[in-house]
Amino acid sequence: MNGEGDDSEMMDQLRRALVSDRPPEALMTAAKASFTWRAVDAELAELLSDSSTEALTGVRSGDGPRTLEFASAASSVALEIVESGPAIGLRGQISPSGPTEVVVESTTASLTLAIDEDGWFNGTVNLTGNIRLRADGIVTDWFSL
Amino acid sequence: MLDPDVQAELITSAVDGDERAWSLLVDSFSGLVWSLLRSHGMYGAEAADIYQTVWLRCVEHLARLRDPSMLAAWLATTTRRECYRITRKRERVGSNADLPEFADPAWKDPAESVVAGEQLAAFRSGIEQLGTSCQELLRLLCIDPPVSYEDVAAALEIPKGSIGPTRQRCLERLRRIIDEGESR
Repeated sequence: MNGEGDDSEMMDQLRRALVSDRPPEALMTAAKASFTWRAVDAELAELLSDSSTEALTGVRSGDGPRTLEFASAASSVALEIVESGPAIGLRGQISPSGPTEVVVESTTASLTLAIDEDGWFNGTVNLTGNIRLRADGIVTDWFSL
Repeated sequence: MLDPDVQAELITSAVDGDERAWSLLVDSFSGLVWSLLRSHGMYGAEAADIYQTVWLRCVEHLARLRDPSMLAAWLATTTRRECYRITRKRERVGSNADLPEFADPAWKDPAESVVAGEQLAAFRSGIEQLGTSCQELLRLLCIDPPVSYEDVAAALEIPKGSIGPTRQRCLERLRRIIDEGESR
């Protein structure tokens, strides 16, 4: 058994060993810049579930498309993502229906998809990194592709 | 380490649109997010991806924290969930983890002397071999500027009183790993 003094000396060593392991400056700058993406005017639809964080079962369920669900007090968004090469296929539904278009935005680009009368939308996007959806006063949580 | 009252004020100001308050929160809690993702074996592009997602999401969630003292716990949960997603993704596509920069034999902290460097390298590779929960605790306790015991406890979902005994147990394990490495 080692004493309290040994432990604190060891913590000092560990601190020295890890001192330079911190987020790179560019990442911290980007994190600070996240603030400009504040959606003050919109209602947040929170990420409720993401199939990509579910444990793999015996069957190879991992081969199906990734599905995500978002919800705010008044509405919900269901989304399916199919990845094929650099293009990403998105298919989803907003309920209740009503909004006529959805903006898919990343921190560097955005594009608009049409929503049909039943709330469905689909399209192919060439975006990478974090994206979110925005429609008629609703904005989803960011999620990473 | 932020005083709880200051932290509450910063959160309120950031929610009201004060960008400087947000920057201070990022400065104060980046170490916590970084330590946790490292504890889950995230390096390189994977680490960068998780770190960015957590902070982007945090902007919208700041106003929804039930209590300002919950920020550390929220950041910890969100970081772990993203680490879990990346781990699943690796399993699914059969890819390998990005390796720690210091796993490269050529990597050297320019501030370290040769002798100290060897010792510190043993600590760096030693902590990698600890289980996730020991890594989380020890890395959180090493952050500079430090994170409060309250936040460490909240991030790990353990009572404050068990930080000391757990630290002792984890250091014991680390000591054994380093000793074994030296005798090899």
